[in-house]
Amino acid sequence: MPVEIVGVKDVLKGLEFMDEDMRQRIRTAIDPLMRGVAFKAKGFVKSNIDVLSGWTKASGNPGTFPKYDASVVRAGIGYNPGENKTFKNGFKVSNYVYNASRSGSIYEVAGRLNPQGRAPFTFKHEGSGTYVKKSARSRALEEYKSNNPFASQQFIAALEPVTKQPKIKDIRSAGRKTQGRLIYKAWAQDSTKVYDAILNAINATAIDFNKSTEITKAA
Amino acid sequence: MANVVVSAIATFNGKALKKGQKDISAFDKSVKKLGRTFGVTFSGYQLLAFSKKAISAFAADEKAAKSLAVQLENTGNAFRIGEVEAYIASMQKLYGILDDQLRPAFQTLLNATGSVTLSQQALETALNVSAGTGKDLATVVAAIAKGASGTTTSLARLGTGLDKATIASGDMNKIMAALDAKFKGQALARLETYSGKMDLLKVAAANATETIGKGLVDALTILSRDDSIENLSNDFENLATNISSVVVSLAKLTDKIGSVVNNPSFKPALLLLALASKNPTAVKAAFGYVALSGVAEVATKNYGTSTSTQKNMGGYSGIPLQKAENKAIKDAVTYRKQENDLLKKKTAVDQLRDKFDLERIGLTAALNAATDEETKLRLKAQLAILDNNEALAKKILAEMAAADAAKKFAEQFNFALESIKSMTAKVNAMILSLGGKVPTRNNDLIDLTDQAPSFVPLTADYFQELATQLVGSSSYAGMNVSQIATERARESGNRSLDVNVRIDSPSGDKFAQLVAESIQVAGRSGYNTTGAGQLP
Repeated sequence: MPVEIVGVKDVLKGLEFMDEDMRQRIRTAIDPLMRGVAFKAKGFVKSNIDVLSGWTKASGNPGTFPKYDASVVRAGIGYNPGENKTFKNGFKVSNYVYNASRSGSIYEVAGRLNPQGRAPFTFKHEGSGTYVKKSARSRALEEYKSNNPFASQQFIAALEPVTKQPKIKDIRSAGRKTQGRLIYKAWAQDSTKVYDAILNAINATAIDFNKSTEITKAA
Repeated sequence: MANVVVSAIATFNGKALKKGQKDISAFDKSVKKLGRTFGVTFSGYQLLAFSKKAISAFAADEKAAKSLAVQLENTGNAFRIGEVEAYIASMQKLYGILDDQLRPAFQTLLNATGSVTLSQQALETALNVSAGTGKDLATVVAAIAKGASGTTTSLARLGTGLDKATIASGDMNKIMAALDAKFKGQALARLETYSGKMDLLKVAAANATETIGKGLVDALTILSRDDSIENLSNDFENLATNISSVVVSLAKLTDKIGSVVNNPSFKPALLLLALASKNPTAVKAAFGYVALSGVAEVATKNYGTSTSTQKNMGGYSGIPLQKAENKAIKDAVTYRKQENDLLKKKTAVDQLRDKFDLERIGLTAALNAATDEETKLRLKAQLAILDNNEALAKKILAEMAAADAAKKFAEQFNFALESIKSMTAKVNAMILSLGGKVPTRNNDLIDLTDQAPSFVPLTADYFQELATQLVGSSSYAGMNVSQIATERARESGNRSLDVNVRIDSPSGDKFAQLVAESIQVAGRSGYNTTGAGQLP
């Protein structure tokens, strides 16, 4: 028996509308909170005298290890209410707090992979299993030949530990890639408020949608 | 620029992917993470996985429910199956613990105690202890069940801090009372935490999953041509193939949809379309429709039924929805107050306007001046029209109709009275003309002979004229009434006939017999020889 279903296009159109409505509500709801996260993150930036003195003297030229400048780091932290470019994994984010400066990024994430610094005298490629060099000139299987092999350990030890996102059972795990000292630290403290705002916005959308599509029984 | 960003909103752009499988897997993983924050998100493989998961969840739920039902039957509590299911459902919503955990826990306690009531009490205690100690519910329930069987070692290991002597006594009444006293309210308090709220969300999502699973199973059962479950696998594979090719435009849809899809009646038709067409677009449309039907279900959901024991029902996490509901109620009260204030103000304005309404003033003055009821009624009617007072208008209309009817009756009565008076006057005149007396109001006969006769004596012409009027002919001149009647009888053939019968003596009996027989024949023929009501 043939089945004819009508109104599917309208339904999809309605879903698109609802989706956009919810997105706008969420963005509106979290906007002030995300600004707060950015503001708080700026507050976590250490002054120049609180980091290794040598770091503030390093060259700031591109291609070299960037020197630390608190004002630059602070200026590199901000909030963007729009959308960014799509990441290579296919996602793009909106209403995001960024930490854009080179030294700020280093301060943010240094040590979250190796909290004690990289072990000295190791191979450059630390992976397990058989490694095939990508080119004949690759130095991946060579040992590090640093004149200051404990530099990374000393550098990280001079920084405060990274802050992990609080683990929420079945909701969010404290993954390595969400650990940090500036924006991730602020996010760890304020994210629950943002989640609540998002839930409220979703519910508000649903309530409004329900009101506007209330089905009344014909008399 | 370093990509160090923090955001709660991420959207997926499938076009940016270089390859399908690898990136979709990464996407799926990411969507899961997002889904845990925002809710379940439908897309590509996620849809397929969700469908499978939904069916599995439904099957597991149904299996657990049936197992518990059998257990209840075996313990002589078959009549309480419905009650226990309702109890578990309410506990699930109240405490944010999945029925997947509650049913086995209840079943374990039922095995140990054999009593539904005791099992319910023990389960609530176990929930509190679980929340208070951080031990999982199954461990606590197992310990209590063992305690009920006489082994209290597990209870001691729960870390409840109970007195060793109490535990060692093995008296479960004492132990349960002590546990209740120590951990009372812990399970509810847990819901105030973020984790607790998320557990409520999880319950809602799990319920939705089971519901959707039921819908899918129903739909697929219908789709199987012989309505047997055996053919489901093939159909499901077809469905899975189609679903896996669905694009990701529904990715942004949140768990709200999942939490509300409760109406399985749509799903068979939609999935029928999807499977019949083997067209990804159709599948997408079908699932879109299923999703919207779920949202519409939320629309019809009665948020007003939340009670103190069900305060977390029916929402994303329940709590925000309840807040929204409370706010809506508060707003409604505020608006009602404002409306009442406006109505009051309007009434005052109306009263003021009435005071300066010239038409009303004129009508009121006329009403005060009117003396007769009819005029008053008309004026009242006009006022009622002016006030748009329907009730008063109806009343006045009825009164006016009654007044009209009374007036007509009075006219008719007067007419009848005049007629009677005229007739009485003629009768009196005739009586007087014949020399009689007429009665007065006091029934005293008045002799009017001494009074001047007002009636002219009737002449022969009068009677002749009367006879002419009566019979229509003037050929009876000079006859009195009796004579005229005789003449008219003769004319009509009913003449008088004198019959003389002489009967000889011997045939007298024959004549008498003849008369008797004639009467009998007349009787048989239906001719009655007696008067009406007279005995024959």
